[in-house]
Amino acid sequence: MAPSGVAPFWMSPYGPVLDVAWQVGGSDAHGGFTADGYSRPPVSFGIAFGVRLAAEGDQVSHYYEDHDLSRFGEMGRNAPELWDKFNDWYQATFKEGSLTGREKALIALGVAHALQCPYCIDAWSQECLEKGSNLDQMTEAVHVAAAIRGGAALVHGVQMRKRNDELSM
Amino acid sequence: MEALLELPTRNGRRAPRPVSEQRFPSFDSRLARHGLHPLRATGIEVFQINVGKLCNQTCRHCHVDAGPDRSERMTRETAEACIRALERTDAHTVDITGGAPELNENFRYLVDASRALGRHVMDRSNLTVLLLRSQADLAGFLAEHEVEVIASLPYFLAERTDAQRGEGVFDRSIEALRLLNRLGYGQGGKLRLNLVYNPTGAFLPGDQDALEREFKRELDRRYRIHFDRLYTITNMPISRFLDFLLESGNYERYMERLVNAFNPAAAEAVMCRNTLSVGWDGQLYDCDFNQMLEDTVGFGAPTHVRDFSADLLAKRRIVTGLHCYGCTAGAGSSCGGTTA
Repeated sequence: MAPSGVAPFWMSPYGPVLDVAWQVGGSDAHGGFTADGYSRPPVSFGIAFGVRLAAEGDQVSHYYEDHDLSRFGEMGRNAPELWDKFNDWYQATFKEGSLTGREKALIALGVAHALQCPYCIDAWSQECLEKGSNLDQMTEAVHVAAAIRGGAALVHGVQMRKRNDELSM
Repeated sequence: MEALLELPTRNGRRAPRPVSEQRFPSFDSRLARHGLHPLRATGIEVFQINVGKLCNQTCRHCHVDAGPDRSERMTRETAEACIRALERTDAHTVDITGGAPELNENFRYLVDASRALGRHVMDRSNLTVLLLRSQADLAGFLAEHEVEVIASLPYFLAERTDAQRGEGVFDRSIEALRLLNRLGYGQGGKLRLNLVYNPTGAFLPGDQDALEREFKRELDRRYRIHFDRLYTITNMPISRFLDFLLESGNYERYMERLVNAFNPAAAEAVMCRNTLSVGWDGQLYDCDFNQMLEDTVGFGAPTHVRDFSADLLAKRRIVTGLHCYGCTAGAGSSCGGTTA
């Protein structure tokens, strides 16, 4: 349900659909983001983030609007060199290597949950489906992330115990 | 659910289309930006025959809207006209589809006659048809005629397969694949068994080679089943899949995905350029999807198989629509999988 006073995304007129920077026959298999705010789809469609374009005049009254994702590329406007480095690194990271693209997508899905990033969860859920993962595998990946988060909290209990030992008679 | 708009098709009939599709750039305009307009055929290498809409399954994504209650079937007269037309082409492959094409009484005639002309034959099978009592000798017939089987299997687990294709379809599909394997299909020899992967929802297919590796490993590990190639096919935003997109609120997002992923290399290699599609009633189309939209070939090319002209049809201009973005997104999509 969309928040009241804000047009739900499916009713928003979206901006111009731009031609993407498609690299025909190139090695760019994992998409990326252009500095003008548009995402570039990878060959596998395994786009890391969404493609919805922000509409002019959209009200900005809530965090985590899903169409804001397509503005991610704006982060390249004021520090383009750093942005390009991030983009190159990001694309290289998700190329098939010792791990398959499907395995990497499952890791990313788990990390997205650990970080509780709604953009990442949306994008990597879709990516996992496109790469052939099923709901059992995706759920296990989320449990792995949750278990590590839970364990990380719990293991700090040792610190609590040490402090207790120091302070107590 | 989104409002629908009735737009006229080329042959004067009307087909429901979503109102919001007017927001997307036309396919022709996108082709023009890449110097590919107008799109023209390069020949007729694949002669595709859709023998009708009768099927023993009712799949949720079916662009043919096929099912057990459909009565549209190719007659013997039209089947013979197809063979006469085929004879006048250099098409190396005859691609027989439906519905479940095997249920048409002229299916075996088409296979026999095409093979007699020395053409390679492909059967687009839903697999479960092979287990019907009335089709007990079908698998043997296909093997005897060295027919390539293109079999639908959207996933290697029951849940997702049955969600798309119907309750119990997965188990019967596995049984049919085992039958084909026993006959020698899918072992890397003459009897080719290729699987078709359609996404089971409003998302696009991933990398074809990676999915093929995954399917090969899982089907072998779980069921000892072998096949030759996996073809990934994008679901077209028409017919039942369009209904699903609209009802689930995914239409615009899906179309944006297709439009933004336009790949000129895939556009250059679209299957309609080397394929001619014949409908159950003999009408001629650029592809099976145009066939379901009842958009016959246009721009002066003959529109019925009885008026067949290999010269005119081999160089025809292709009729396009918004759904064509489905074949040009990313690595491309065709009846034979990716194209770019």
